[in-house]
Amino acid sequence: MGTALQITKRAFMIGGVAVGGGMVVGYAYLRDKPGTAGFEDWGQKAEALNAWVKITPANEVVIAVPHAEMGQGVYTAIPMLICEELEVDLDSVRVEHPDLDGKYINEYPIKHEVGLESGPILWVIMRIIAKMPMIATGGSSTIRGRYDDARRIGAATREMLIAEAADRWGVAPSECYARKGQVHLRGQDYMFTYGELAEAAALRDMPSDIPLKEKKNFHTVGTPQRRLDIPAKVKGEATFGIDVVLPGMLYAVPRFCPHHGGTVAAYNIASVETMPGFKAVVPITDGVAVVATSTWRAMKIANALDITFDPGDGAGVTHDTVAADLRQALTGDTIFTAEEDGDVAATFAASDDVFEASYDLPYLAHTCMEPMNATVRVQGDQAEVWSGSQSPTLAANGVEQGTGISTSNVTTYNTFLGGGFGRRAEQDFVRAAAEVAKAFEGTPIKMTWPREEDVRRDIFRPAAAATFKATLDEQGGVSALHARVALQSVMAGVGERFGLAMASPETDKTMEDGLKFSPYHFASRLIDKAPYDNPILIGNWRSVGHSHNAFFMESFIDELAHHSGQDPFAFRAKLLQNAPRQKNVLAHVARIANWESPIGAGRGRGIALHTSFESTVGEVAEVSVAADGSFTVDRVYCVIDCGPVVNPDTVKAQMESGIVYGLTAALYGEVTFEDGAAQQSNFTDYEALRLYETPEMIVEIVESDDRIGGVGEPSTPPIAPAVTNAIFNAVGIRVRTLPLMNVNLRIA
Amino acid sequence: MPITFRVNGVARTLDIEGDTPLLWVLRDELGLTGTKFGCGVAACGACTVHVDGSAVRSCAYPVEAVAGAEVRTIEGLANGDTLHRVQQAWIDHQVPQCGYCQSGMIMAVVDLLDTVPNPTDEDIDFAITNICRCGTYSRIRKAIHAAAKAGEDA
Repeated sequence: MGTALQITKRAFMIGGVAVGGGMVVGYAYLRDKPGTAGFEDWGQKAEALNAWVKITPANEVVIAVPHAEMGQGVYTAIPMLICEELEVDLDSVRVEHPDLDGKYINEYPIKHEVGLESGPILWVIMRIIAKMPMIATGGSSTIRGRYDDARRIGAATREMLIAEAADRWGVAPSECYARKGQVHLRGQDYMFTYGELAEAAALRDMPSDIPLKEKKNFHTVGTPQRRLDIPAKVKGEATFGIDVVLPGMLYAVPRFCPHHGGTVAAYNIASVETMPGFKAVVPITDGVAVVATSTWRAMKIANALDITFDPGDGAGVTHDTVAADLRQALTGDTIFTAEEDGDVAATFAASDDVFEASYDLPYLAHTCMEPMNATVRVQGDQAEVWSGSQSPTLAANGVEQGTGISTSNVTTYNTFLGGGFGRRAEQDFVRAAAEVAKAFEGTPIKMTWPREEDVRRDIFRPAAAATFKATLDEQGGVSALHARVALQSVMAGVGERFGLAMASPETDKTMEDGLKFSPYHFASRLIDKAPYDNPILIGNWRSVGHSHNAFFMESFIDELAHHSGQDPFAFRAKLLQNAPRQKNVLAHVARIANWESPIGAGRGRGIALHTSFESTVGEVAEVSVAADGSFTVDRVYCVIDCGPVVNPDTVKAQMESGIVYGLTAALYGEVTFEDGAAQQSNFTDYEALRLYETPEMIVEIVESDDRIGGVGEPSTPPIAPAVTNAIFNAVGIRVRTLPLMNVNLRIA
Repeated sequence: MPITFRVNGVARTLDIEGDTPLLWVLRDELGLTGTKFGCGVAACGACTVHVDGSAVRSCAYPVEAVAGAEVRTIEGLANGDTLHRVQQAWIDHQVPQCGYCQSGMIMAVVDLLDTVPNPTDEDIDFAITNICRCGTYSRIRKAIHAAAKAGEDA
């Protein structure tokens, strides 16, 4: 038997007896409206499975976290939330990825029980059993979405255990309390371990009232906790997708058409078929795959393969044509309004000082440390996939695309991710492996992308261009602001690849993310966008639209401050008159950075503030610029308000991480094209920031009881403008395009 | 032609193409997947292992060059259940995020501390050129100093 409880219109708590005894409680989240109507095209509305708690008769507490651990600490944060309410110590639990094949849920009783009760719940369970929950990790969403849910799982489990103990003692539940994996009777020495209670507790009704602890009573949440995944990671024992080893597997290496929009024209197997370990060359989407008896042999053969490509639609697409086309789009006829308030045009017409500036940003690669890879085995009408994916759902979709096997017949095994950054929210790397696996039925195929393929065949952060115009009132406030951006639509690209009608440039909100709903007070405002497209694949990149729009907005705000003779900090503070949360972060970061203090010749300080994923981050960068134009970013002060904090050390680590990621892009990030083919291919020509050039980082968290925000992305958007604003402060050179390696900072 | 060498104290003989990078011998032939593939051109350091006590980037190090040598990988760093002091410092300072680069990072740092037991920041800047895309560098620096101190106290 099992029970289910509807928590909200779309959320259900589910409890039951675990396979092998004990108790299991989980939380299913029905995505009534996933925000992307196209998900319904898969035949059913998508649904997300949240964490599961299992308590064994041997008193072992196992927490299953379905979210992708890509370094952001979710593997620890979700268990922290559950342990807080369950009253167990974090270091006493085991964490694993859920296996949805029935190991967790003894499916019959639950199916039976809820089947009698309620259609929607049965449907949720059926979907779980069909192994196809909509699990996705991205948009800094995990903790935002799960802060209350995860605690409710812990609390519901605790209440059921307490109720069982109370019955056994013949007392009221209020006479009992839970502590460190045991239920105690107040004022007595009586005690049951959770393991002793679990199986019987699992048969109890789910409590209808689930009291959550007050923050002041937290013992785990809000205090720094050691991450549970780190010991394995320092011993080389953590399994990433690339580490998957299966008996009898073969190794595949792709060779993609380097021209986005192009195709393979011809290839000659005779050139390689006598090489050691050769098995086959298999055509795959946009390229071929070499199959061999080891990764190295496959790489060597792929390199030696005589292959020619047709640039197709990529012909003629270069860095310069993209830049020119984006500029043209900004003044073109097709413009979509994202936000309009007041009469901007009239305000400009009445002003004799309309300040204007234009900005350009390049394509960016992700370069996750772990190159793209996946392992797939096809057997009849069934398939299995092992991969580090930000979305097992999309991984299954990738298998379907590559094999024609329905996602309901695909089992996904998610591993640790060697970086995600939005790149692993795609399914192309799974599809490619699946296409090969289909040709080798019964044999597991592990496909590993050489770094060169990983870069050239990335799904890039789009290049973007913008023009900003503003006019100021007599008090130095902004009476009108017009911001216009031009870029390819990320969501249209994603939708096209996933076979979903997700968005058009008109409806793609990521294009205006960070411009629309700006916390700054503009007496009138117009945010609009110019669509633009070409064959270059573009997708999500850490912070998505915020990554370019924060640079545009925070550069322009800085320019406006200088244009009107105002201090950049004071000017921002004035514009934040209606945004106390942002103003507080701004003041905090200015204070710890000693904003008012002199900084010395050749040095400069720059400030930037940006709200994304419901968190606000303020950063102050300090730079030194030498007479020859060389420069260093010496120090970055960073303050975040992300609402309630789960693991403060993880929040700080994510701030540091996002700063370094954004700094890499600001200094070195640029992918250029010839005939639609990326001209960069490895860390030798697509550099990453290294230890010696990493600034000292001082991170502080503003405690707030406001809504919880994400932490994986919000520190990336402000860093580039903080640095370029600091450069202006140091040497008076305004940087309107990145990366900085192309900018001459030598003072003439 | 068979090539014999030792990996984490165990003798291994493999009949394999001599130009195969040590990285792929460790990963695909010996199942030691703790050593990671990052770039294939010795640019990122994710594949760092020790050959006769010195750090090398195994993705560009042909296996024929280790004939007769002693190779140490991340799997051979701890002494039974006792972690190497660099591994312990990595836990104490909560260094890893995604963790993918950290095997190579740790092996590079162990070599640094074997050579320069108490490195300055400049020594660290010069020696540790491995790439970490999660940006754990500032914690790495702190953890190196802590491991150096633990070495002094030992």
